[in-house]
Amino acid sequence: MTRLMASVGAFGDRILVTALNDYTSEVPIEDFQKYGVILALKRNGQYMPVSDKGPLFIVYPFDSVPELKSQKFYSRSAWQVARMEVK
Amino acid sequence: MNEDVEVLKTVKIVFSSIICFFVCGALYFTSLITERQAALEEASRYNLQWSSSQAVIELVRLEKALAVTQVDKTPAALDEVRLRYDILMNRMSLLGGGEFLKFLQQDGELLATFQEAAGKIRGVAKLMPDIGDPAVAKQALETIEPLSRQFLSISAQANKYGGEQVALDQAVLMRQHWQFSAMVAGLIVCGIMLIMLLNWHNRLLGFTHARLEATTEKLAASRRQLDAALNNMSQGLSVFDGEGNLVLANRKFARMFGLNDDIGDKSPSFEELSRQVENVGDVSLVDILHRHGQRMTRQQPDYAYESLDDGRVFSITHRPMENGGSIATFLDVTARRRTEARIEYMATHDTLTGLPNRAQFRANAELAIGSRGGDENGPVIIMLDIDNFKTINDTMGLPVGDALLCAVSGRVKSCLPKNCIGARLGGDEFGILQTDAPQPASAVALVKELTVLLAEPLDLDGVPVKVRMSIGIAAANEKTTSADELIKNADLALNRAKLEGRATYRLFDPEMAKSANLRRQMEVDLREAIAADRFELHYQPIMNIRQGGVAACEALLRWNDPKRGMIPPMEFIPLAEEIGVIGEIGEMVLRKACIEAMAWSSDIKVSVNVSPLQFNSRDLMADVAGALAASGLSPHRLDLEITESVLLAHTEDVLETLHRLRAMGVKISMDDFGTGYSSLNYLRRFPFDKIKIDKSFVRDVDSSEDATVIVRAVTSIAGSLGMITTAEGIETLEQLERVRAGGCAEAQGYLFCRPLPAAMLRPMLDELALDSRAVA
Repeated sequence: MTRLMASVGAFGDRILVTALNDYTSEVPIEDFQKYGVILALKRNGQYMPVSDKGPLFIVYPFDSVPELKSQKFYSRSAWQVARMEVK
Repeated sequence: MNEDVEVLKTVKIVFSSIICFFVCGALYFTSLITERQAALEEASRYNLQWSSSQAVIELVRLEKALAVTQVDKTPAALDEVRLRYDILMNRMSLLGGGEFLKFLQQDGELLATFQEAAGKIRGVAKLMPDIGDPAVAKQALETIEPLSRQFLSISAQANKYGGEQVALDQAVLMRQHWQFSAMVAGLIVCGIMLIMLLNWHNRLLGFTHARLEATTEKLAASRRQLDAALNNMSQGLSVFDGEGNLVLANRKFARMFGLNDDIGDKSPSFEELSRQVENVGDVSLVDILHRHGQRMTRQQPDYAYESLDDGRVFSITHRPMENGGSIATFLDVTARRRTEARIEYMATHDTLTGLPNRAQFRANAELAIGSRGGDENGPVIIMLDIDNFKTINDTMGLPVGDALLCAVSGRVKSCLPKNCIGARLGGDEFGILQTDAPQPASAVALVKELTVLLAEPLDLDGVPVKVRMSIGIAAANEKTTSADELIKNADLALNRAKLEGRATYRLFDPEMAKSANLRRQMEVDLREAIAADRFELHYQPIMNIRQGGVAACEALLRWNDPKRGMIPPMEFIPLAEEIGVIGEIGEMVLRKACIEAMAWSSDIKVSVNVSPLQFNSRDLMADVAGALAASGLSPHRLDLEITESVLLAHTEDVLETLHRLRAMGVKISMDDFGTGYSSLNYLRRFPFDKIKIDKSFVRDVDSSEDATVIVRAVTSIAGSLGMITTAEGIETLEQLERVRAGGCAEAQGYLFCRPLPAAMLRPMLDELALDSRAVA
């Protein structure tokens, strides 16, 4: 996500994520650097279908950083991402 | 103290327990917080109702998209249907796993409803390729349309379940809250307890501290008392440890050795101590200290006397201690030694003359006898007695007597060779112990030398006095066993010398011991005679040679001893005087004489001789009064004859007695006048009734004109003083005539009558009354 932000030349401190089902969630940009958040496109080499959290899925490293296991981060970890708006 | 230790131990245990409790509490607290965190997470993690309600919305959107295809056959509308279906499928897969599935599994009916719905939605998938066909789309719409009702019911169930879960979580939280509160309360209680415990502990520590201070103070007081005791000892005290360091010394010790008082505080080694004594202390004590050092190396108690050249003497005791050290005391006993020497000197010497006394003399003699050889050089004891010392003492006074004794002792000392020891044995008696000289020649030679030396006149208070001495000599022989025996023998020889005229010496002879034994026997017999009344009185008439007739009869005592026969008074009166029975005899004589006189004509007096010693006992007055009262004799018929020796001693008492007797009417006569001192002074001091001129003058009156002159002179003086005179020992008519011519009023002697027993006297008295010889 850090690289994505850099490559699009994003300025701002958070992004507003909107899912296909219009679910929205605000994610602070500093999270990406801090936790190494990724924007998943494929699972096991296959593009993820909409029926399985596709096409894009913001994934926090829940397994390696235990402190992420909270509702705050679960809500930021949005799937079926359709749009990201830098604010 | 033990109680304090117990209490402190208890406090420690309680402390540890509380701290353990704190640790446990903290751990429990942590776990509680973790649990609470978990519970909170649990409470906020899953929102089933949200998921299920999303499913309803997504289902409705799919229906809406399907409905749109009925009128809008554009690919976008179809894509929208496919997108919504995929979104719904995604939701279904989400709901069909994880927490939601658990929720569904709680209720079999609900699970069946969900699976039926899920099955129908999956069934729509095969319709999806032909969804552009309105009939197919309609079929799909009809298939999923009823499902929204089912999902709503699941959502309602989820809502209810979520509420229950929240309630459950709240209960858990509430329980944890109470646990938390209890825990905090417990910790607060523990904190309070801890503070109380600390306070208590501090108080205990305070008590202990106070007690410790008291103990310290007590120890300090003990130390002060100990110091005071040590410093007030008369001995110097030192304590050395096993290495020879001085660990304790009192002030006396420090001062004795001339060191600083605090010498003991510095614990100097023995060598350092010696050095200090040598450099700053009393150097003369260094040797004593060194010898004490040698003493310290011996592990046994010891004491010693150390004498210094300057005359000081120290008494030192040494006692090893168990730890290898030793304790020693030093005492300056110089003064004590001097006093002891002085006491010893005083105990063994005569203070007046400085000569050894009797005890010392006896000890020396004992020593000499014990170490004598078997030859004739054995020890000799010479005893000397100043003749007439008592008279000199009495007439010239005690100071003159003392001066005489000193002069004599000085002369005796001056002529004694080295093998002789002189001593004053008491009174006027001196002793000389001679050893290692041929005997008895050496003793005799010494005595002769002494006699010559002492014969030179001494100047006593301006009066030249020739000292004469009676001397007894006794040499030890092989039979002599003790000093007492030898002294006794010398004493016997001395007595013999006295008896045989004085101013001479006698060697002891065993015969003297025999006569001494005889005398002792006589003493026994005399006492027996008094008890058995073996005395009788003989009477000799005293004639009135002026008017004629018998003037008086003199009572003369005879001892009728069964073994020895009649014994005259000369032989036993001195003994009676010596052994103190003269009083009894005198009383008996007075009593018998007075009774006998009652049988005579009332103009005849009775004369009774009184010993000077009878005046010493105050009973003479009582004896006289008793005798007169018992007999009924008139006092003026009793004539007491005394010799001038009566007036020598205790004159005031004697004169008083004489005056009282005379006041009773009793006559007092001076007997044996002309012998002894015959001082006219005596005549002046007491108004005698009569003077009896001694027979020694009378004996000579017929041959010596001098004697006649003396008789006349005495008679004349007596007459002038209102006294009459009696001439004693008249044996011839010529003597009678001469004394009569000399002026004597009375005469007595064999010419008239011998002393006769009472029974023979009475007829003789009648005869004598007519005796022509008595008449002028």
